[in-house]
Amino acid sequence: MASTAQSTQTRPQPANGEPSVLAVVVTHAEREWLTECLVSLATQTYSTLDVLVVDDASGDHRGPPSLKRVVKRHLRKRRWGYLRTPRPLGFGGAINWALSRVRTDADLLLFIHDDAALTPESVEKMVARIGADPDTAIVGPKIMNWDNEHILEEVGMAADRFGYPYKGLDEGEIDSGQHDRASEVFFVTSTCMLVKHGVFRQLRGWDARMRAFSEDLDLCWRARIAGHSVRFEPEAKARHAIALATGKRTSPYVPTRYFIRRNRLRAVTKNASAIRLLGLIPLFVLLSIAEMIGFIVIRQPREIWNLVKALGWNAARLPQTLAERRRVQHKRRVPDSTINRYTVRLSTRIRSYLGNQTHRIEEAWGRRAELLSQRGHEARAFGQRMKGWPIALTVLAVVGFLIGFRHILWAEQASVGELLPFPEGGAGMWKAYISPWNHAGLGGPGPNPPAFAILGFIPMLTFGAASAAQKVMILGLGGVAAWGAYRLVYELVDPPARWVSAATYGFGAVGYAGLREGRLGAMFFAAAAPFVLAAMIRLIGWARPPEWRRNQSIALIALGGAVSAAFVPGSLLLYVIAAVMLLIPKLILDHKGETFRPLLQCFLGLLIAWALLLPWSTSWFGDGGALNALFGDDTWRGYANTFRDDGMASTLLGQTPDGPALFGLAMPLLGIIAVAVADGARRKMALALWTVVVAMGWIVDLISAGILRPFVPSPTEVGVLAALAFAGLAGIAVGAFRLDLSRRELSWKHAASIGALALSGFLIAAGMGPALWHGEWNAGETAGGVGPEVVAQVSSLLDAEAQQTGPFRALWIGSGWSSREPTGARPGGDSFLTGAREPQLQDLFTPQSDADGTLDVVIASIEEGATDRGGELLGAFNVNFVIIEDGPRAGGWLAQRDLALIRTEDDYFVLRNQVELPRVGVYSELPVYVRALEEGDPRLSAGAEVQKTALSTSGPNGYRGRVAGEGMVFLAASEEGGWKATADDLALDRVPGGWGNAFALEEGPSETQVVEVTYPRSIVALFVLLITILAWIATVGAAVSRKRRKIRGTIA
Amino acid sequence: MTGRRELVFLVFVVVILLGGIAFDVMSSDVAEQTSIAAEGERFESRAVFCPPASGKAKANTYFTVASGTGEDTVVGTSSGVDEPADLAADQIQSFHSERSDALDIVGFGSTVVASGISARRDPSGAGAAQCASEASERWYFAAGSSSIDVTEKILIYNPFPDEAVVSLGAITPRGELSRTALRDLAVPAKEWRTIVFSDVVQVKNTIAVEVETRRGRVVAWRETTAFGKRVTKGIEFDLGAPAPEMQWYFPDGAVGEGAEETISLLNPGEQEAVVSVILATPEETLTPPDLVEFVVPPRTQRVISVGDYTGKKKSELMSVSVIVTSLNGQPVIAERVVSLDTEDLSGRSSELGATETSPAWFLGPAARAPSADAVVVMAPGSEDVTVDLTILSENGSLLAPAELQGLQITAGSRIKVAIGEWTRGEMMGVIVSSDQDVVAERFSYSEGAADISALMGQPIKMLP
Repeated sequence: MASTAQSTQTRPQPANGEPSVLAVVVTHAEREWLTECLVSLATQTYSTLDVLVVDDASGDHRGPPSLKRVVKRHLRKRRWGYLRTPRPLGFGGAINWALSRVRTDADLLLFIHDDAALTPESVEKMVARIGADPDTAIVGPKIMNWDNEHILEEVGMAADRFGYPYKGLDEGEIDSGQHDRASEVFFVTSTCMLVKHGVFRQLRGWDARMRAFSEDLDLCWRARIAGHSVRFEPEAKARHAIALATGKRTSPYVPTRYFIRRNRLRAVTKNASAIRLLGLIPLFVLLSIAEMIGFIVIRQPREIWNLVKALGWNAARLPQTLAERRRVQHKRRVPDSTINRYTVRLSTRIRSYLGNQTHRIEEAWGRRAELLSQRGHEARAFGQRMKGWPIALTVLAVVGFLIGFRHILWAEQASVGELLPFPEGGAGMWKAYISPWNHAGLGGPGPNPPAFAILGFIPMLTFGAASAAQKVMILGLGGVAAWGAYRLVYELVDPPARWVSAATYGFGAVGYAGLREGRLGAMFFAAAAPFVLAAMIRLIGWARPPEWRRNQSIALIALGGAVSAAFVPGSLLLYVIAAVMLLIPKLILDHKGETFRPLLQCFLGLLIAWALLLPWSTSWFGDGGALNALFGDDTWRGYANTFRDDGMASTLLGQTPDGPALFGLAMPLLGIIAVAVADGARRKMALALWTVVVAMGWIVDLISAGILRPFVPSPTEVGVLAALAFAGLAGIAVGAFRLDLSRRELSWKHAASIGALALSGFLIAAGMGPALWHGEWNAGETAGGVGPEVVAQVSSLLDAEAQQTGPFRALWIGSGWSSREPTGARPGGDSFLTGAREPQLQDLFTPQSDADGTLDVVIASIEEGATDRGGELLGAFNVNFVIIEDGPRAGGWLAQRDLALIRTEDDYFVLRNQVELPRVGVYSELPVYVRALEEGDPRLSAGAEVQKTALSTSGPNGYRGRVAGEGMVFLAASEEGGWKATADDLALDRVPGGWGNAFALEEGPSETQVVEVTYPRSIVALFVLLITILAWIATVGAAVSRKRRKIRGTIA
Repeated sequence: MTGRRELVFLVFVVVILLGGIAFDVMSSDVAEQTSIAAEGERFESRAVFCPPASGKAKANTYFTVASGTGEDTVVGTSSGVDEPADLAADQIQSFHSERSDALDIVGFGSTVVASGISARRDPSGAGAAQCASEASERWYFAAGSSSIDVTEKILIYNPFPDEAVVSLGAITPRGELSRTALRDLAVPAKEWRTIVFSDVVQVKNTIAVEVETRRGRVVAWRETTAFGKRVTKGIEFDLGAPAPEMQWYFPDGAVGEGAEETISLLNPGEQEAVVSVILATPEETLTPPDLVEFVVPPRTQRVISVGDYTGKKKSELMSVSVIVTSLNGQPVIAERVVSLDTEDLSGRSSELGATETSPAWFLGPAARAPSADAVVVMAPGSEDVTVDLTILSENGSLLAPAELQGLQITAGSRIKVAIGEWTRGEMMGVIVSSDQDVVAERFSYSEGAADISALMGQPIKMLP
C-alpha cells in the first residue's frame, strides 16, 4: 500500500517568534477515540501547530467514512497531513517512517496517541515549559483518565534499574493538585510528549524495532544520556483511554507483557552504563527465574513463555543492540549516577511490583475459585455417578491397593538397586546436581545427571521426611503413570474404559517388576511414557482433542522424554522406535495430508529432551557413559544377560516386564478383543498399539540373541512401552465393547466378545488377587539380600559415625545391598562404594575412574587371600567401613588383620577399618600404602607410617584446615586434575600422588597455614546450568499451559 | 477399502509377531558375561602367626621364615621387631623374640612360611611348632594329658583388631568334659592368652582339646611340659589343626626299647568315624587287622600305641611312619606323640600330621642348637621318588651337598637323612624337593635341653 500525504492549509508565519509545533498522531484501527483527539488538537490555543496523522496500516481506513476524510473534517482549521504506512510499523516506527517522508521545519514535535485528547492550553503550556529551560528537550503533560478526568494516570514516570516503569500513583488516585509541581522526571510516556525536533533528530528518532511499549522510556533515557532534561508540565493535561494496553482495541502487539519485557531489556542493554550492565545481567536472569517460578505458582505458565521469548528475542538481536548501544554511549554526556537521581530504589519498585502481583494473584485465584467451584460441581456429579457398583469397585481397588502395597506403605526405606534412601531434605539432591563434582563412589568431575534435580523435589512434598518421600515417590509415580494411561485413550473411549486403561497400567507389570527389582529408572520412565506416547499419538494424528496444540505436544514429548532419559537414557531410542511404529500404520491405514512432518516433530521433541539434559547428555557415549555399552567392550554382555529369559513370547504374554502370570495372559486377550470388536479409529489405534508391542518384542529378542547391543539395562525398561501399549489396548477393548459392539447386528461376535472379556476379567482377578494378598509390591522382593531393616540399622551406625568423624566411604560387598544386575544408574558389580555414609540416592550414577580399577584389584587381593592387610589398602580410598553379606566371599574379608568386626548378624557383618585415611589430609610424606598403590608394589606398604592431619569439610566441594610445618596435602578422592590446593591463599604445586591428588606444602612465614583444597566451579558450566534450568522451566510452561480463553469461557 | 487395508496390516503384524516368536525359540541367548577379573598385580602381603613363649622370662622364642613361593620377597613383622628386609628365595630369616610375644611375620609381595622354637631352661626342654598361615574359628588337638606330671597349656593368639571370645572343651575316650572355667574366655585384640588346661581339667592321662570361638578367630598352640618322675621329661609344642581331615601323614616316629609312639585320633563330629591306620617300617608296610576299620565314636578320642602293632621285639628301636585315612567320610584329627628315653636321646615331641602331599616342602629348624638333626621324607604314592635336599642358612649361603641330592625312596616307604653334618648345630632351614608328591618332617635333638623335637614340613610352591 502506498502512502498518501495531503496538506490543505497554509500555516501563517509565527508573529511573535514562537516555535512551530508539528503534532504527529499515530492511529491504528478503531477510531473510537481519534475524533476527540483530532478535535483537541484543532482547538489548541497555540497557533503555530500543524498536525500530521499517520495511519499505521489500519485495516479499516477506508471507512466509511474514510480515515482521511475524518482527518480532513476535524482539522480544517489547521495545516494537516495524512500518511499511511505500507504495513504496521508500531508507534515509533510509524513516526520515523512518516518524518522521513515529510519535510518539516517545525521546531518542536508533539507525539500523541490517537486515544488521547489534550486540553486547549496544553500545547501552549508545554511549549512554554520547553522554552523556559534550554536543557529541557522533552516535556510531557499530566495524563488523566479518559472517562473520569479527575483520576490521575500519569504525572511523569520513573523507572528502576531494570527499566520497570514506576508511576508513583495509587490506583485510582484523584487529582487534587498534589502533583502540580513542574519537575524533572525520568521519562514521560508517548501518550503525549513534546520533543525538540533537533534533539529528536540527534537521537535518531524512535527505536523502531521496539514496535510498541517502552519505546518512550528508551527515547527519554537516550535524551538524558545525551545531557537533556525531561520534564513534566502539570498545567498541560491530556485524557488517555489506554486502549492498547488494556485490550480495548485489537492490537497486533500481543501479548502485551512480552513486548514490554523485551523492549525494556533492550532499553537497559542499550542505555545502562557498562559497569551497571555487568551487575544487572545476572540479577536480571535471577529475577527472571524467580518470576517464572512465581508464574508457575499462580498458574500462568504462558507468562513464562513470554518471558523466555523476550529473552530469546534480545539474544537473537544482541549484535544489533550492541551496535545501537555503541551509538548511544558515544553520545553520553551524563553519567549514570546523575540519571539515577530520577530512578526509584529497588525496594520501592519491589513494593510496587508485589502490589501489582498481589493483584494478579488475587485475579488468578479468583479465576481459580471459579474453577474450583466448577470442579466441586464436577466432583459432586462424579459422586452421584459413583453410587452403586462403581463405589464398590473403588472401595475394592483401594482395599486391594492397601493390601498389595502394605510392604511399601508400612516399611522402612527400601534400599535395593536404584531404590535407595533419600537424604534428609531435597537440598542434598540439588547440591549433588549443581555440584561440579560427583561424590558417589570414588568421585568424578561433573556434569551430574538431572535425575538428581528431579529427585530433589520429592522430599519437599514430605517436608524433608526421607522415608515418607520414598513412599510418596513410589506411589506418586504409580499414580502419574495411571493418570497418563487414562489420558492416553482419552479421545478414543468412554470414562470406564479409560479407568480400565489406567488401572491396568498403574497396577501392572512395570510397577510390579520395577518395584520388586528396585528399578527406579524404569518407574520414572513408566510414569513419563504415557504422556510422551499420547503426545506422539496426537502429533501423528491418531487422536486429537478439540483444542489441541502442536507445540504443546512437542513440549510434552520433550518434557516426558527428558524425565525418562534422566533416569534411562536409552528410553529416547525406544521413543524414536515407538514414533516410527505409530507412524507406519497411520501411513498405511489412515493416510491424510502430512507424512513425515509429524515424525520429524516427534524427533524434534526428543532432541529437545536430549538438550534439556545438557551438559550431562554429552557424556552418554563417553567412557563409563550411560550408552557406552553400545560401543564399548564386553560390558554390554552384562546388560544383555538380563534379557536371557525374555523375548517376543514373554512380551506377548505380559511377562516383559515380569508381572503376575495370569494377569499377563489377560493382556494379549484384551488386545485381540480390541482389534476384533473395535470400529473405526479405535480399531486403527489398536493396530497401531499392537505394532508397538511387536516392535518391543523384537527389540528384546534381538538383544537377548546378542544381535542388538542393549541400549537399556534390562527388559523391564523395554517392557515399559509394551506394557503401556497393552494398557491402551485394554482400554480400547473395554471401550469397543461398550461403544461399538452394541451398534453391530447380533452375531457370534457378541458371544465371543463377552466370553473373551469375561475370561480376561477372570485372568486379571486371578492374577492380581494372590499378588495383592501376598503383598508382592515390595521393594527388593526379587533382588534377595538383607532387607531394608538391616540397611536401616547399618545406616544409623554409619550416620552416627559420619557425624563424629566427617564424611567417609563405605564399601558394600554382595548383591543384597544393591542389585548385582546392571541398572540404569550403574553397571553391574559385586561391590558398591558409597560416596559418604550409607548408600543414598546421590550414589546413583557412579562415575568410573582409573582408580576404580585399582580398587578392584585391592578387593580381589582381599577376596583371593593375597593380602590380610586390606584395611590399609582400603584406607587409601577413604573406606572406613566394609559391610559384607555372610557367604563364601566373607572369609577373605574376615581374615583381614586391620578390619575390625564390629557387628555380626545372621546374614551380614560390619567391619571397621583400623587404618583410616581422611579424605583430605596433610602428611609428612606420601602415606606408605598410597605409595604402594601408586607403584603397584605392596612391599612399599611395609614402611613406617607417616604422621597426618585431617582437613575438615568446608562447603560441598572444599576442605580446609590449619596446618603447621611442611608436608604433603593428599586428597583421597580422585586422581582428577581439577582439584586445587592453597596455603594461606597461595597455590600449592601438584606432585605425583598416584591415583589421588597430592600437593607439596612448604613451610610458611607464620607458624601455621590455612590449607584449602577445592574443586572450583567453572563459570561456563554454571552458565550452561542456568540456561538448562531456564529451558526446563520454559518447557514445563509450554507443556502445561492452557489456553486462557478456555478458562475465561469456563468462568462465564 | 479401509477394511481390507486393516486386514492386510493385521496379517502383517501377526506375521511379524509370529516371526518374533520363532526367532525367540530358535535363537540362542547371548553368551553369558564372564566375570571380569580385576586387572593388575594382586597386592600380596600376608602374615603368618607365630607362637608366643608361655613361660615368661624362662623361655625364648625363635622364628625362622622363608619364602613360601620360591620368589624373592620382603619380610617384616607387624609389631616392628625388625625393619622389613629383603628375603631371597633361597634364604631364611630368623627373628628372636625376648618378649615372648606372638608375632605376625608378614611377607610383602609373596607368601612366607615360618616356624617357631620355644626353648625353656627350667624344666629344660625345647619344642618346635609351625606358624599358622590363617586364623580359624576352631582348633583341635587330638593328643594331650592332664596327669599330675604334665602341665598342658593352650596358647591362644588373636591377631585381629577386635576382641575374640573362645571356649575350650576336653574330649576323652569316654566322651566330652565341660568346664565352666573354660567357657567364654576373652582374648583381647592383637593379644594372646595362656590357658593352663591341666589346672582346670581333672587328671586324665589322655585328653583331646577343642578350641571354639564364640566371636572372632584365633590361632591356638599347645605346649605340654612333662616334668615328673613317671613320665619322660620334655616339652611338646605344636600348632593345632583348624579342621578335621580325611587323611593324615606322619613320616617319622619311633618304637622299641625306650621309645613309645602313640597316635591319638579325635573325632569332633557327630557321626562315628571309621579309619584305617597303615604303618610303614623300614622293611615293610603293615596293616594290622585291628586298625583296618578302627572306629572312633563321635565326640571321643582314641589312642593307638603304635608299638603294639609293629610285630617286632620291643627291644629293637626303629622308625615307623603312619598314615591315617578315614574310610566313611567322617574326618578326624590325628596327632602323634613320641617319647624317647634311650642312651642317646631323650625327650618328647608331639606333632599333628600333614594333611596333604607336595613335591616341595620347607622344614624350619626344630631345635635351636641341635646335636642331632635329620629330615624324614615319606613317599606315600605308588611310584618311587627322587628327592633333593637343600639347606638354607641365615646368612644366605646355600648348601646342596651331593650326598643329599638324588635320594631314592621306594614307593610307600620313607627315608631318614641325617643332616647334622651340614647344619652343624645351627638353625638352618631345609628345602625338600622331589619329582613326586611326598611328605617331609624334621627331627632334632637338643643336647642342652635334653629333649627331642619334631616339626612337620610346610608345603611350598617352588619356581620351576
